This record gives sequence, C-alpha cells and structure tokens, in this order.
Amino acid sequence: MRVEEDQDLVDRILAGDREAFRVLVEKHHERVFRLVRGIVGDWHRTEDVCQEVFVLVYRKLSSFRRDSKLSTWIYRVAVNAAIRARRRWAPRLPDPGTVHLREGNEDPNPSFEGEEVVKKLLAPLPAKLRAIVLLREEVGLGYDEIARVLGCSRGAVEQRLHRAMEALREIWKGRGGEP
Amino acid sequence: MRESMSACRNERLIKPWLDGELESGAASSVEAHMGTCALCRKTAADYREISERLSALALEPCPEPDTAAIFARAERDAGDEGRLVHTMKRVALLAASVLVVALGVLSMPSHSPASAEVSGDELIAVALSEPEPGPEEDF
Repeated sequence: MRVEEDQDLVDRILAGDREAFRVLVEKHHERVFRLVRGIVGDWHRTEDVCQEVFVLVYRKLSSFRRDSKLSTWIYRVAVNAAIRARRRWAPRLPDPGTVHLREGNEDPNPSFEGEEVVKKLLAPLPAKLRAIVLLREEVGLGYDEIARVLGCSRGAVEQRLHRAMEALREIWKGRGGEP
Repeated sequence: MRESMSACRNERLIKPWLDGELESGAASSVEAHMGTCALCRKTAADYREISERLSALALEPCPEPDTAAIFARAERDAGDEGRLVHTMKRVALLAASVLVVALGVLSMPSHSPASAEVSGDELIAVALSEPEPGPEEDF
C-alpha cells in the first residue's frame, strides 16, 4: 500500500503536481533529517544538506527506476549527499572530541544529549559505518533494506554493522561508559 | 578486554539477534547460548546500551521542511545547469572551430626542406633559361 502510494506520488510529481512533492517531502523529511544529522554531525548544516537531498530528489525523480521502494532511493540519495557534505565541510567542522552548546538563542538548539551522541559516539566512526548504524538505529530499516540503500549484500551489512557496534563499544568504554 | 570479547565465535550473531534479523532456528540457538556465555551476555547488554544512547538523537528537534525553498533552489540549480550546458556548448563549438582551422592549416602543402630544394632548383632553371618576353621597353 505504501509502495503504491509512493508510486502514485511519483507519477503526480512527474506530471508537475507540486502539492504531491510537498506531501513526499513531509512524509520523508524527518527520517532523512535524522539520517543526515548523524552523518554530517553539524545540526545547522544538516538543514542545508536535507534541502539539497530533496532538491536532488525533485530534479532526478525521472531517473528513479521503481525497482526499489521510493524511500530506499531517497535514503540512498541522502547518504551520498551527507557523505559528500561531510567530506566538503570536515576540515571546518569542530573537533569531534569537543562538545559545546551554541551560544545565544538565535537558532533552535539541538538537545545536549543528542549533540553528545553525535560528537562523542558517532563522529569518530568512518562515515560509511556511521551511515549503516543510523540506517538501522535511527531510520529503523531491516538488513535487506539497508543492503538495497547501500548497494551491498546483506552479509556485508551484517559484517559492517558488527564492526560499527564494536567500534562504538570501544569508544563508549573509552569514555568510561558515557555518554 | 577486546581479545577476550572476540573469543566467542557467536559474537557476530548478537547484533542480528537483537535486531530480530536471525531465522527462528538460529535465534533459538543464540538465545540458548546466551544462557551459558557471560561474554556474549555482556556484549548484548553493551549493544542494547549503545542503541539506547543513539536513540537520544530522535529527541532532537527536527525543523519543518521548507518546500518553497526546495522548489526555489531546484529551479535555480536547473537554471545554473542550463547556463553551464550553454557555456559548454559554446566552448565545444569554439574548440571545433579551432580544430577545423588547425586541420586546414596542416592539410596545406608543407614547406619541408625537400620541397624547398626543389623550389631552389626550379629557380636556377628559370634563371638559366631564356628570358621570357617581357613588356616592351619604352625607348
């Protein structure tokens, strides 16, 4: 049913229906945001990357081959855009080891706990391992779906997820079990 | 610490087990193993703790999507891409013109040393030959 709904949305968007695109964005935005947030690290840059993701989705929708779920394709676009952004901005991002709240109240601040998780737990992981952990833990995808998003085998997903969990465990223990 | 943790060969099955990604037979085996292996129980507890910590991300505020900005950016990008394609077409046209001119120049009779020598011989022959009738001298 969801797949059919998504296919219908795709047809409508390709026919020029902007309202259908608004529905698509609202439907997928939160998960894309959390996924990108975890990979990019910086909360404020995440908004920009999310916008980039949906611009790409809008402009490249005609290349969506419909042999997978629309959400799978969107997550793939999001992972690639976030990893590209991370590479682009990494030298200018703060040291992953330093955690600080932004000063002032001019922007909506992320929760301190969330910021800690990103900076202390996720940031030391390589971007691809971060992506796999987030697809599982934040987006809630099953292993087969993660394999389709990343274009790898289910076995590779199991292997990388195990590697990521062991790395997270080391990081976590290295911090005395915190955060 | 890590060495002892990796001592159990079932460790790799713990995450798929926790995620409900094992087939029922394999899941039952892991479950039974958990009753006897303290290392794997500890690993499973750590993984659960890490998952719980990661779930803090979901508590963060998520901004409302700005579809108007997305459309505006998509149109701007499309315009930029159009201009880029136009510029590239012009560059390609210019390059093709340069190539045609270059090929034209290369296909012209070359002035190699051999042909220069022939030309020299021709000149000597012309010099030794009878003068061609020129215009009548005006006395």
